[in-house]
Amino acid sequence: MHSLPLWLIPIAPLLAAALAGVLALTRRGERAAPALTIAAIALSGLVALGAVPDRPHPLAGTIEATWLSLPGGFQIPLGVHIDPLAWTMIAVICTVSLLVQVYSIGYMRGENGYARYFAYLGLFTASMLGLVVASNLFQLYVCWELVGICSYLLIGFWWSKPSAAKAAKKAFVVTRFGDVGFLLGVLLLVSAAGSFRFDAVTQFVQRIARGELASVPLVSAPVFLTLAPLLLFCGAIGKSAQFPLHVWLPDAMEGPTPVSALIHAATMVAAGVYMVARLLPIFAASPVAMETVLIIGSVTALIAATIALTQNDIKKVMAYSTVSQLGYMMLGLGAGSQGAGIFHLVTHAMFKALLFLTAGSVIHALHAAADPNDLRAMGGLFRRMRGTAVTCGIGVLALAGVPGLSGFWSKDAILGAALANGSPVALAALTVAIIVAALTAFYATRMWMLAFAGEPRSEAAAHAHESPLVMTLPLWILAILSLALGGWLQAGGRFTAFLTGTASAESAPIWLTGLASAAALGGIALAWLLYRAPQTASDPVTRAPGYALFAHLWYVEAFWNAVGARGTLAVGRAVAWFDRHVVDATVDRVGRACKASGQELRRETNGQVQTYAATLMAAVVVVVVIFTLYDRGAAPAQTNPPPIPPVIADARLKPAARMQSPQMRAKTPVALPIPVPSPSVPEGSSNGSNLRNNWGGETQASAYTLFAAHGNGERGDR
Amino acid sequence: MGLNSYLVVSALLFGIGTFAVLTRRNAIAVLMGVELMLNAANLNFLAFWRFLHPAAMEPQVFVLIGLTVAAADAAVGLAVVLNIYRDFGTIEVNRIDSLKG
Repeated sequence: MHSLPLWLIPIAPLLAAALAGVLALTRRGERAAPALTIAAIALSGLVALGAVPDRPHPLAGTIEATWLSLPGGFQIPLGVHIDPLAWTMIAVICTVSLLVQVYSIGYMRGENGYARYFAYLGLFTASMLGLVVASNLFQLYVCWELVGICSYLLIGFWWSKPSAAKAAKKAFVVTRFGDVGFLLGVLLLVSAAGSFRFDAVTQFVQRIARGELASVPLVSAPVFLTLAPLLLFCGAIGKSAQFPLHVWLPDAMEGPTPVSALIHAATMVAAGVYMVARLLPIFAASPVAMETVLIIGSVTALIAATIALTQNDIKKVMAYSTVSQLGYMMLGLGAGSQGAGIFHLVTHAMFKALLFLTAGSVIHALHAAADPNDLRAMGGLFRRMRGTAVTCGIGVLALAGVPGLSGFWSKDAILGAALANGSPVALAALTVAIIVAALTAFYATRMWMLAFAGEPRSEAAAHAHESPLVMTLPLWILAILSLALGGWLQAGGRFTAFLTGTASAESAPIWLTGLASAAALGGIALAWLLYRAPQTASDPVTRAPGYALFAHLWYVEAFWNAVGARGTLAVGRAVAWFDRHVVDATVDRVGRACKASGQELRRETNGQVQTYAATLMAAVVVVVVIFTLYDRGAAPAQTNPPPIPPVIADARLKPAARMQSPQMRAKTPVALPIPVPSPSVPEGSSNGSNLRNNWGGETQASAYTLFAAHGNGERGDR
Repeated sequence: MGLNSYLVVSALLFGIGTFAVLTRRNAIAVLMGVELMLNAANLNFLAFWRFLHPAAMEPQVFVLIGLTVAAADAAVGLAVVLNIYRDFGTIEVNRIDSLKG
């Protein structure tokens, strides 16, 4: 154990999942899939066991490699960091995941996609382990999204069922919505602190809180201190199903029940709680952030507990109960106590997983019914499924916070932390917490009574039988943990000492403990009285004040449907209108304009020569006008013809300079005049300027003068 | 008399010729207009020659060639008109629009 490397912890389940995925493609290898993933989980657990932080271990601590090295000095590390908090989470994840996988061997027997299920579970376990051992925000975020994907895959495991596919989509989109804020918070923190690592980031924030750093890039220091944790908390609101983003968790019950036990009770939804706990120094630097966590936690706890009263689906009751208990955990963290929040996370993981698995056992037994989840069709199962009923009862008592069981101790720690905080918000939260404790006890007992007490209310319930050992054994293990773990951890403040290194025991004063216990026992007693008798009339809960509001889920679903779903569709429709009528229309208009102009121009070619001639004349006029306007060297017109220039006597040409009469021709030899270009004056140029220069009558020694001389000579001769 | 007068006369002749080309329906009348235009151009050329370079001989030759070309042009044009009449049965220029569109 000591020599096994730490990085096996997240990697072993990942490899097993990959192998199981390959097995899913074969037909005969399917049955081996659970063995792989369970072995991997056991291996991770063993490695973690050898790395308990309070024993010196050569490999405990942090091992890190640089994943990416960005220009500008930014390093993105990839690492495994084991400290008490991480170790606690690993213990929870490995235990619950192992038990759920053993349970699933029985629950999913004969299902289509058996190996695929275990592959997904292995992938989820690997991602969750990667999340809790992360040493930096980048790895945390990546694993955060990975568990979101696994949740999507597992909720939508029976993807051919439309409600399951919708629920998977809803879970992913809603948590993603929260993750926008989370990413912004991560980026803000990292850009200011210059590093992704947790220790660097928390130290940076603490330095700002102490006043050592005055300014931060992008925002001022006080704004930064408040904004960063609030943005991070957005991610926790989504992932840990706090109000108002809790709406995905009840729908997530469409997935197989072991999935609900693992992901939506014990581990994935605890990721948000873990993140807040890990970054609690950052939250603690801002009173506003802590108060926000407190308020949202208590509001969530209250709303979910009231809704759970009204539910008739056994898994929905548990789902809303999970939301409520997550609010409790946030309450503990917001009061400032990392120990209380994590303690409740641990105990809650145990008894909620237990409750879900027992619900799964009941559903499995009632598989022949029309709706096996419906509490109204159950009843009398105590006689038929003794083991399930007893373990479920233990879970209910733990959830309710009956003194002595694990839930009691962890709730006590939270109440104590809220009281110790002392601020008005914390005290209000404390009041809410006590009310919620009573409500929790009531609805949990109601659920148990409706399912197990009384007489069977349907055929399927009458023929139910106990589940096989592979399913009931995990139930008993979890039941023992729910009974004993809380007390063992709390004794002497052992857990808090382990977690935070201080020896303070965070329990409430005796009067508060007594008050909370009274609330819990009162709730149990009331539910027992109301549901003891056979249910012939309507459910007593429908007569509770505010029932209509609770049964309509406080209209949160309706709100998100209107704003989120229909609102987004409306925006989409507006944008589509713009695209169709503005963008496309512009393109169409350009095309149509081309076509129209073509049609217009077409009229010009009418085949008639005179039209073409007219066009030509117009063009000529334009050209002439241009030339006239731009040719400024116009010479004045002459009124009188210039005088005819005299004969130029050119010595070279003299003998042939005269056109001779036949008589003269006989006398003198003829030399044909050869035009000799004069070098001084350019000849033969068609340049208008040359001609213009000669308008003054300037003559040139050229052949022209030759002929002029002839003409003159001829005239002179005649 | 002045150069201007000649230029004006030739311009007027050119204009009348253009008008005839553009307006008359009868193809032969169009050809007449073309003749007028050519003659106007010749007249213009001659005016410039006489007033600016009267000693030169080349412009005269140019004009003579121009007149010859005009004559050849008229001959060919009439031959074309004959063929058109043979093909279309009419010599009204606004009926001959096969190249329309």
